[in-house]
Amino acid sequence: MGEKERSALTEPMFYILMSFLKQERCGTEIADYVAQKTGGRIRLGPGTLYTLLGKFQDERLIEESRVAGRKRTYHLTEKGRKVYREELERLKTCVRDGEEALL
Amino acid sequence: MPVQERELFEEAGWQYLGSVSDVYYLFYTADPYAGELYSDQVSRGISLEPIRKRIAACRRRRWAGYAILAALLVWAMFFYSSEYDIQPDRAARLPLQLLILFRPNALLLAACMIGIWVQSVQDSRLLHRTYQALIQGLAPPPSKGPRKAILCQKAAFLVLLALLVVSNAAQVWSRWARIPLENVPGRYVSLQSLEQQTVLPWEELPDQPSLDGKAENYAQLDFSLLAPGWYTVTQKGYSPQSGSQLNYCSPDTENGEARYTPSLDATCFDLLLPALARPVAQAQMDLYRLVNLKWTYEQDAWPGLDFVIHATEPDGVWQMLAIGKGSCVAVFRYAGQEDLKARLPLLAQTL
Repeated sequence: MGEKERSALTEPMFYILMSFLKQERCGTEIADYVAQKTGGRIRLGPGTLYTLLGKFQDERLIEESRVAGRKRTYHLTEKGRKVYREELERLKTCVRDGEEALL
Repeated sequence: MPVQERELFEEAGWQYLGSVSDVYYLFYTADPYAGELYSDQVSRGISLEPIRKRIAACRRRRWAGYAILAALLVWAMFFYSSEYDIQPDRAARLPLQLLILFRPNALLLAACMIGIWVQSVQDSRLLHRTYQALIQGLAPPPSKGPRKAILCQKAAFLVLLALLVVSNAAQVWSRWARIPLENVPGRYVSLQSLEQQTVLPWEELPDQPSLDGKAENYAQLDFSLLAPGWYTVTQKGYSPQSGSQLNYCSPDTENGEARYTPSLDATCFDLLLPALARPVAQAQMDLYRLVNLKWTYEQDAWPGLDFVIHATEPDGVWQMLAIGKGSCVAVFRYAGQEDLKARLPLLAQTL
């Protein structure tokens, strides 16, 4: 059975996956990264952050790396990296189409 | 909920209150400037997924339970028969089951279950609509606000539930409660009037106390919307003249060796629908039937009665008689020396 067709990632989903590209992170670090990367345009509410982390774990896009005290750290899986790249390609196509339309 | 997760919520100005089945986490805030827990609609919708899954699983389990119960009920009603039953008739008691379904307690229970089901369907639909809207990035459907209908629905459900609990606790409509024969709400034939020889109530027999310490001559009231009048009278008597041996289970004199101890059970119905009279009579006869005996049924006519059904068994100790007139039915089970058919004029007075 093929995997269910994935719909486009929302901005919070995209930035959360992006936060794992270079290093593993815990919840607070992800929230800080997204806020800093978007210049404060996207501020992840705690409900949003942990709901999406749970969903990504269910879909095996991320995995828990370790639990140190209160801190749970996650890292990106190969599947997660692939999903991120596909979304990036989709966004690039959107931008390219949009720019061509302006010419 | 993990501590770090909780801390992030608290940093946003929300206090953790508790959780429901590890599916629903409750937070509260009194700070009007506290940040939103969900910064977009889609993630808010996704957060509802565990609840939807849990409800769906619960619903599947519930239907599986109902299916098993229904299968057991069908098996018990139509396929089970005792090895001692030599004349099984699996559909014979269905008219009585119908009366039982219309007992107030059964109706109250059904009303409560329908109330719970309606509420559950409404909640599920609201959850589904909300989830669908959020997952597409839309705002949840607007609430209709406080409505009187919701309040009335809840109040009616609570009243039904309270009635059910109270009626069960107080044993209202309980067919198991025994009442003295003096309080029988309708007419009945006393055992002594049926017997040609003197018999005394069982309770007056000094050397044979009751088996379970309860009265042996009593009545039980029942009620169904289909049978507003429904009562059973149970009578056991004994002959003052003792036999040569004690045998308080036998109605037979056994050639004078045992004490004569006749018994008469009668169930009377005043039915809502006269069409139910004969089926209910036959059902009650089947309920009275001693299953290890071979019964012979005979239909008779009697002036003023719609039907007369007389049942006998080979030994001639036990007899049954069902009579009906309009919506009134009386069914008798007798053990003793008299011929019930010969006493029809007396028994017909019950109707």
